[in-house]
Amino acid sequence: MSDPRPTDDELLAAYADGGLDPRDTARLDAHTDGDPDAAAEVDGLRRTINAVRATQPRPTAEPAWDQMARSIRAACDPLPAPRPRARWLVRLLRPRVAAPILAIAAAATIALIWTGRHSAAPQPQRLVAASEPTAGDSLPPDTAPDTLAGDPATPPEALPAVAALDDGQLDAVLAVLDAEAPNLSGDATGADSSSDDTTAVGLFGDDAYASWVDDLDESQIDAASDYLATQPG
Amino acid sequence: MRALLALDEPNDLADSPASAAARAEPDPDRPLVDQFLAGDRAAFDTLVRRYQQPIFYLCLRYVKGDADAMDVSQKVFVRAFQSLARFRGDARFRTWLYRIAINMSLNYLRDNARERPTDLSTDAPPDAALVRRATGPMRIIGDEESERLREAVAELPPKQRMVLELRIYDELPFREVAELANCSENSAKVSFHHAVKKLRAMLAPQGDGKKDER
Repeated sequence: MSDPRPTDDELLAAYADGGLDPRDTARLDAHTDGDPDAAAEVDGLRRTINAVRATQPRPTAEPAWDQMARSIRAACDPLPAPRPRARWLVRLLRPRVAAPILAIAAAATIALIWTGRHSAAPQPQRLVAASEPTAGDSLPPDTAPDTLAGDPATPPEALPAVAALDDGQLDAVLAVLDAEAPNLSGDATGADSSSDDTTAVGLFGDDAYASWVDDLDESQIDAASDYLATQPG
Repeated sequence: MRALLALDEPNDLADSPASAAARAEPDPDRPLVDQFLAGDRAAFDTLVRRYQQPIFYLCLRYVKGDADAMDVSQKVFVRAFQSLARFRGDARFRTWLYRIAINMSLNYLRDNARERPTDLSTDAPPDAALVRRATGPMRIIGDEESERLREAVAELPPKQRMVLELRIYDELPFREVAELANCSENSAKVSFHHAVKKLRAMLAPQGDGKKDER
């Protein structure tokens, strides 16, 4: 994103409010020192700023801060303590790792759906005119949209399919992890905001990406932890 | 009806142009965040104590009335408690928390259609100490002018208003203002300048013609 440098005139209010870095401040100091009009302008801006500061909305009565803090504590106490992302999970969420997993999961799902459809007893075909359903209609199970089939990057729906992976497929996933492990880094804070993360968010969607992390159950976490515990390094 | 500046979720702070600079400086709240994530709930209580007042005042600017502002403020902290595990550290904790507060205030307004953003007016008079700080020895702002100024601030374009309020009321550095307004630091400074100039011009015609003079 281009960020054109402001002119000195456009920085005057920030200057008047003491918000410039030392270099810009020194330059505008010199500018206003030699220009009475500029100095008057800065003075007027500063007084406007101060006048606005005086209009800060105030409560009708001083809030009971202690009580507020206690209320917040009481509201939070029943909540489970947040679980920071484990290091292995950060690794797992790298798109170079997650994307193949999701692709395999989606493929497995497609295969399961395909297998299920072809092994089930034939059902009478229900033809539905395009104009027939209304907004309130719910589709019968066998006509539900197959969102996974055409979209391998749909993690929340695809996740159940991970559990359906057979040993061979899991081996393939783990092989990917092994291949990627030397390149993976980052800590539980996710402070390393590499382009990988951006890609992952783009792949999953921001909310889905976060939900995917949160939706992992304990058995999945345990399984992954057990696996990673066996890995060197 | 005044337009509101729509904002993304807190995680989007990582994409704001000012976030790179923010990452270069240590976050003074980070140790408490880490303690909390390690299981020390008292660390979160400390963060609450540290920020409950500024968050309340921020919410008060959006929602109408002390009680609603208090309610939204408390929900902000509960949301922060629940979401802190997802805090990536790309922005300062304070910036992240402010973003939650802004978003929740806007959500509150959306969910309570009868409500609308305050026009920066409350029944309470401006704090006397602030008035003295603002005017110094030069002049005293009258209630009428103060009211006009509040209305003028409320009439600013949403981005200019947000930048102005975060800078003047919350006293945030421009870098953090920029992150919250989802723009570059330079852009925040320019928006601030235009906002102040506009306020000065709005006030001038109805003044006595000498109010900006010593």
